[in-house]
Amino acid sequence: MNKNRSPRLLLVEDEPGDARLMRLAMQKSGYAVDLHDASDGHEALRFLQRQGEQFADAPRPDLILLDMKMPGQGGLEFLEIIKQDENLCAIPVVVVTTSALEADVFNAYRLGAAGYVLKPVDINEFVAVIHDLGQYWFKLVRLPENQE
Amino acid sequence: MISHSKFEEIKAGGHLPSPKGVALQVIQLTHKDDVTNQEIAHAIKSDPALSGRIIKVANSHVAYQTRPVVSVVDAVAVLGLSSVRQLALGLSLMDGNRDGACKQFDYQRFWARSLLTAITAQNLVLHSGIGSAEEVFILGLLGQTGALALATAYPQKYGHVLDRNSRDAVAANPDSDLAGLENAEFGFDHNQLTRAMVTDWGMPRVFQEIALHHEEPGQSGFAEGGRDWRLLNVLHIADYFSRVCFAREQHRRKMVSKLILIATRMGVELDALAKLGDKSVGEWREWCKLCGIRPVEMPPFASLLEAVPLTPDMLDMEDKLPVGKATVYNLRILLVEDDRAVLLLLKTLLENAGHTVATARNGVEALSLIEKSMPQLIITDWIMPGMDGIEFCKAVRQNPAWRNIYVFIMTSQESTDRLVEAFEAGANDYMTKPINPKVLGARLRAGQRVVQLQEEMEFDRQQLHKFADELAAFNHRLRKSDVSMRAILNNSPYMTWLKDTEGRYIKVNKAYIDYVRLQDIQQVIGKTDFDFWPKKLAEKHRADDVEVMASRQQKHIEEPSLDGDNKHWIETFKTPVIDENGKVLGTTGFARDITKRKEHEEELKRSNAELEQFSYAVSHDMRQPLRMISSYLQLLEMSLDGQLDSEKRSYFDFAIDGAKRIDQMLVALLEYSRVGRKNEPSTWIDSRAVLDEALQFLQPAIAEAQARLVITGDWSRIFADHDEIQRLIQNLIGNAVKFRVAGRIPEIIISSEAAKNEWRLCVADNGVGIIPDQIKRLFQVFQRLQLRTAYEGNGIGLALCRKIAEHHQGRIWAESAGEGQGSRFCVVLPVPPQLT
Repeated sequence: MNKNRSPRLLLVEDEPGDARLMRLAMQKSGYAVDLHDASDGHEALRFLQRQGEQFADAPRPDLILLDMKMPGQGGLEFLEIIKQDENLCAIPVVVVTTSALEADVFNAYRLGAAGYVLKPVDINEFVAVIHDLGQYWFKLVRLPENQE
Repeated sequence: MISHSKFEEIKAGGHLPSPKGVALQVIQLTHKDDVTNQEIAHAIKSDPALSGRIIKVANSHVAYQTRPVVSVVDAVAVLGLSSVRQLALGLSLMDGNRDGACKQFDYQRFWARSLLTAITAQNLVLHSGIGSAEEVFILGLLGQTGALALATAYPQKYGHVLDRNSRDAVAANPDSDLAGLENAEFGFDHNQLTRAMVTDWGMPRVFQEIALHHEEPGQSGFAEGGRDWRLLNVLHIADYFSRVCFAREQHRRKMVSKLILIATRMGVELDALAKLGDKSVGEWREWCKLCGIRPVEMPPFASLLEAVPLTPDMLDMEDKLPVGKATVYNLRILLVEDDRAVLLLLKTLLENAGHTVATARNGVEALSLIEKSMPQLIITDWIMPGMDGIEFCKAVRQNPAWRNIYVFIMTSQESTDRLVEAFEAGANDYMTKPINPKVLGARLRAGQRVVQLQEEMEFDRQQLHKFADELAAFNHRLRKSDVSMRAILNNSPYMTWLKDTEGRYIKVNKAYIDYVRLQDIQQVIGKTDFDFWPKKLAEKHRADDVEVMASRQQKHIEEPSLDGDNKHWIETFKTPVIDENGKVLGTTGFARDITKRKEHEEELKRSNAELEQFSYAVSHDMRQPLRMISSYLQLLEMSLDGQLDSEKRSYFDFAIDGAKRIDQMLVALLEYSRVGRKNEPSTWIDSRAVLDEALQFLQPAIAEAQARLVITGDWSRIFADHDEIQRLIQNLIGNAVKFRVAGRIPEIIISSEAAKNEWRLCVADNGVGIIPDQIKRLFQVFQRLQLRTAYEGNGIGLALCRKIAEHHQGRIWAESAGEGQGSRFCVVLPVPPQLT
């Protein structure tokens, strides 16, 4: 990751309220991030593959934050596709979701998720979780270099 | 025995009775080779008395002739030279010795008795059809000549002998031993002298022997039953008969019974004897007149016979059945005989040989006796009044139960026709009367062997019958059991079959027939799976059969079976059929269509998936909007910071708190719904280890409450879901810690008990206790008995505990003395037998 620029995030989330919360949590945590939205797996894939006019100039994200349950293509299906795509599989995906089901956790890791984060009900806890997440991914981990 | 020289001496003394006159002339003529009947007749005619007597003898022999003999020539022709000669001799002796010097010798009586003997002998021969009548007549007439000769030659001495004899006779014995006295006096007896005289007269050797032995025929040495023997016995009977007739009244009775017996032994039965006796006496009177002899008076002979009772002790048992080995096998014999003498004789013979004898006097009586006496052998007379032996025999054979009885028929005459008749009537053997004890013994032994064999066969037959009956009964039971077995099999929903080692069907039931859509069991028998199923499926079936036969183990198979267009699931149990020697005979199979069950399983999976869906909804879909509510309320509150008074701030707090509690409840509900739905099977776990893990989780709460824990009892291994049991223990102890009375140190006793097939866990505390009527609400979802403000909790803990207990087929209950009195929670779980 280029240290001279902000981390580029792709948030795959169908719920606008949640997407908004994520932005707020990022802000409250003090992270300047380049956050892009996709409302489901299909859109996220088009974004990543720069399909259509809308995404012709879409940047390659450093990290993908992925919700599990979405209309259209769900999180696990999306995860499976990009992990089999040799151009995209290097991008770390962290699942951020409300589901505490063991099956979801297990399948997410099985398909190649880099992390699994439960969204707390309390906003302060939520902000704290996102803060920790940022500490790890933006500060500690050296994300793979983008080709561009 | 009289010596030849002695005889010659007596003869030379001229004292022996000898023929004279015409008789001597006739005798000399008969010695001439070329003599004619005319010459003989001419000589006889010169003596009118002799002529009349010879004609009478001739006529008595030829009663069957149409024309009576009237001339001497005819008489000579009928009698033959030899007989004429001997007749002349005898009659001449009679004429020449009407009187003599011996005073004690009654010459008249001697000739009277000799005549009666001759006539009786003649009649006996005519009766039985043996020998020639004139020969026996002469023997009878001359049989006692020795006594006459003794009286003639030694009138004095013989007189004394006769005196002594008659004293003995009067004193005791009618059959006195005259011969013994004679022997003592002369060194020979009258019979020996008779024999010497007969020999001297040139009579045949047989005559000599008969003359010698006719008083004691047992000593003759003649072959029993032969002609000579019979002739001898005829003379014996005749002699005794005349003796009886001339005996004193007081002796007669005893003598008659002996006569009956000797006659019976010779086959002369009572009736015949009576007729014969009276006939002879009648003829004898005529002869007496003819010969000028004074007859003695005697009652009708038949009345003599009638008067005599027959008892076994009369029999001197010189007659014995030869006792052979086979006689050990004693028989039940039915003796059928109308003649009481024969009956007595045979009965005594048979009983003395050890047999059991029942008797009947005729066929009708015999038939009525068979059922009772159950004879193995029947000896029946032929000629009987009422039902004769042949009819009786036929009647016996008509009863199937009596067909094994061995039947003898006794006949008086042996002729081919009679034998054929007897055998055709069903007789097994015949015996000719008179019954010879030796012959009877031999025939009985033969009969015994047959009876024995028959009884053995009968026994075998009965055994066979028994076996056959048992077999039939067994077959019947088998058929019945087969029927019931078939009924069971045919009503079984399981397709059932029996195949041989080659996979050919031996038996199938109705369910199978229905499944393969055939009409008849016979369409399946002998066929293989390749005849009904697609090749691939048949090969699979065959492979399973082969595997089962090789492994000798039952195999359980669940597989789809292509049946038309429908896809069916079939569950099959295949079992090898192994005989007692360990040989594999084939396979049996039980199978059923489990398509429905499979569908149910699918439905269960779907419903499980739906539950999964529900869980997902609870865990994610419902919580997500809830999170929106609480998060944005908080954000709103934050953004209004400073503008809110404390009351408005509390509104926010209530709303946010409510949303959070719903979230907690959703999480608890999720947990509750998932009890028993995890796919982890129960395993053997160490209950103490599980307790320790639970305590680890609870450690902060315990420390905070400063609770005192006592752990007791036997913490055994249990068969359960580890996580669920841990949660259960954790909830119960957690509750005990949580619901404590303020200011009271919690004391918690945790006990485990391994009883018979179950595990009991109890957690007792000194906490807040339970109001008794609230106990039943304890284990319901979201039921709280305490204020939420006083005790934290989601209201699901005990409901969860109950669900876990029930999931393990156990139960849970609570006990409490009341509010503030502490409480006790107990769980009992079943424990299966532990495999070591």
